[in-house]
Amino acid sequence: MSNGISEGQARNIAQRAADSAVAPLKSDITNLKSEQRTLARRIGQLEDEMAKIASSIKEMQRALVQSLSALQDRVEATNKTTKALIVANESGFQRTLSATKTGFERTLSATQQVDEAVTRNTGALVEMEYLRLYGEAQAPLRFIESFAEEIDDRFAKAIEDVYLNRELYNQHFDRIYDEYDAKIRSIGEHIFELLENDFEPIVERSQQVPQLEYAKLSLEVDEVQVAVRSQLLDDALESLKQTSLQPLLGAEQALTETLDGDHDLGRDSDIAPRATVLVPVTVAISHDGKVMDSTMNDPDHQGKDLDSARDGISPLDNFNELLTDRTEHLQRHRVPRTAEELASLKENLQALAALGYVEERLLPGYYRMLDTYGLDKLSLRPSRGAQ
Amino acid sequence: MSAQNHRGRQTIRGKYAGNYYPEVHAEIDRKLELDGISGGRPFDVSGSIYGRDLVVRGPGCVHGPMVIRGDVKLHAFQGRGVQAFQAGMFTSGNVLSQSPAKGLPQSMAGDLRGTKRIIRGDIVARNVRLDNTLVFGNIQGATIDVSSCLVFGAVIATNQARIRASTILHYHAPRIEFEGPCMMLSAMGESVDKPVFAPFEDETGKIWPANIRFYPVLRAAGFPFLFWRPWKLEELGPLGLLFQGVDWRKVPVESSPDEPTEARRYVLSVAGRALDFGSLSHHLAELAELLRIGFEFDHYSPKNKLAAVKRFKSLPDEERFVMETVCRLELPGSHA
Repeated sequence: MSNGISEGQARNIAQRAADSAVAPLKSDITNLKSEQRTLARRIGQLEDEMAKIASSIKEMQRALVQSLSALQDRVEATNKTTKALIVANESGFQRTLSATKTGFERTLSATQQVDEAVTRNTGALVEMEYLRLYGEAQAPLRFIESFAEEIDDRFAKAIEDVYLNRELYNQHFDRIYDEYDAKIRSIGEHIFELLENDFEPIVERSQQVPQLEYAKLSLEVDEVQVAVRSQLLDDALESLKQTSLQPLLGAEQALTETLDGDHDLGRDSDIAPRATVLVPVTVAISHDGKVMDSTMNDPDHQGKDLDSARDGISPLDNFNELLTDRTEHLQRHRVPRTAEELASLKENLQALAALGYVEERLLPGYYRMLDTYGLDKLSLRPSRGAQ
Repeated sequence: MSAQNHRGRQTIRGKYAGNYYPEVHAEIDRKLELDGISGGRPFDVSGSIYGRDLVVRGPGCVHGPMVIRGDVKLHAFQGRGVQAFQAGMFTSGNVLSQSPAKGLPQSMAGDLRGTKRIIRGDIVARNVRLDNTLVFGNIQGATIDVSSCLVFGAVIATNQARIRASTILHYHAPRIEFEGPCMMLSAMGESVDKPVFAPFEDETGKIWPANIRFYPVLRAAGFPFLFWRPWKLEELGPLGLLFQGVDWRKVPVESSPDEPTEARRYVLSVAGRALDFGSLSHHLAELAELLRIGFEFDHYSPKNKLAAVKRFKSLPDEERFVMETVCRLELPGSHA
């Protein structure tokens, strides 16, 4: 006679079934927890479900235990019946042994059948319970699986959306960059167009001509004018020298030589050179042959006859003798001026300068000459030294 | 402050660091304005400027070169400060300036220290019309008209030049016209047509006869005035006067070496009259040296800058003012 499955076994079977159902759930829940926070609520729900499952299992176990208890009670009852039969058949054991035995065998077989039936029923019940509990346990799993699938779908869709958005952004940014490049290019083209069409013609063309070029002609004209004027001035100077200066220098040289040679006034190197004053002398021959000259203011000298006059020779033929005679005459009549006369002479020079007849800037020189050399005058009477 | 878009025109107010040029495509064709009035302080661009149809209002300074497509209009303004452009002005259009209506003695020709506009560097444009401006550099264009200006450089025109009560260094133009009292810093010039000497009528209607003077002669004689001011200097008589029939000579030139055809030019030259250039050469050399220093000053070492500043102290008043202004030692009316 089968004892059937024990409570523990049934409990174990149910527990294993539940564990096997829960284990993948736990791993999935763990995976899902790591992936989605939002599943926590669902997991909480799942836990509730699991709690329900556990309670269901417990109920199942309780029911199973109750069933097994009932079964055991039935078995005990059957055993009691068997014992009663044995006790009832103790007196007539032999007589009734075969009948009892037959009946026992019949009972045993019935019991076995019942047992088998119970076993089958129990097995079927357990299996049914197991399947029911398994199904119930699978429900959350399926829910979780569907939820996970939904999450996966949504995640995939989100990733796809992100990918699409990224592609859209890429397109937009590409468009923006293209637009930026185009604008930069257009601005650059504009700038270069300005450089080539505006700036270069304005500035570089004006700068290509050196600044000196604008003044080149003026400078050349200046050079030509300066050269021409320099030549003109040189020519004028040369002409002035030829026409004025050299004749004056020649005349001055001739005068100096003539005065030194023919009319030397006795310059003594020991004595300070005296100024030579040329005195014009007018010589005339009167109708009676007398020689008259402008120096003849001496009554004693008037009308002096020269030998040449008596000889009928013109006194001008002996001009040198005449000049020598007249020079000696002048020297004899020379007298120095007094200091008062010199002072008066200086005053007269000052008056003449004020009137513009004498250059004022020459006055100091005149005064110095008068102070140094004095100025002799001619007297009517010979000077005391000459007499 | 940065450039702001206002009524379709980019306006720069206050200080703008760096160079200004269009950074986006939309700004390429936008017109430009430098505003030193509405911002409450002068504009100050530390770099260069590229723009289109520039309008300048009020005082301020641009330190770099200006390249403009279109016209440049320099408006007059009242109050303190100057418009200073430190590195030249280049435009494909015209350069036009405005000034308050004043008689000649009240303009820059009469009061150099009242200068309200200074341009250092060359001005290159198609047509230039400036008044009451101190230009330290050349002016090049097709038609040039300067009135009461001091141009410390050459006036180079490809069509016509008109010098009205102004002082220039020398000129080069097919047609030249002098109006009123003018001064030549260097007696050099070349024209195709005979120069025209006409009287100048100022804004008050007073007529000033034509009178061209040669500055080095006045400088040597102790009258270093950069403008000929008849109302003050008439007592000097013909000192430094340039004579139309004497100092402008008609000379034959070859138009080109390849096709030598006889041509004539009227050239200004005082070499025929100056008996002794030696006494003038010192002053001419000093003017040339001042030109060189004015352009090179920013690149000098501190030691050489100090030496140059000391040299400025020994210059006559008006020359010293010009050099100190151009070298930015002190801008007139800059204490705003």
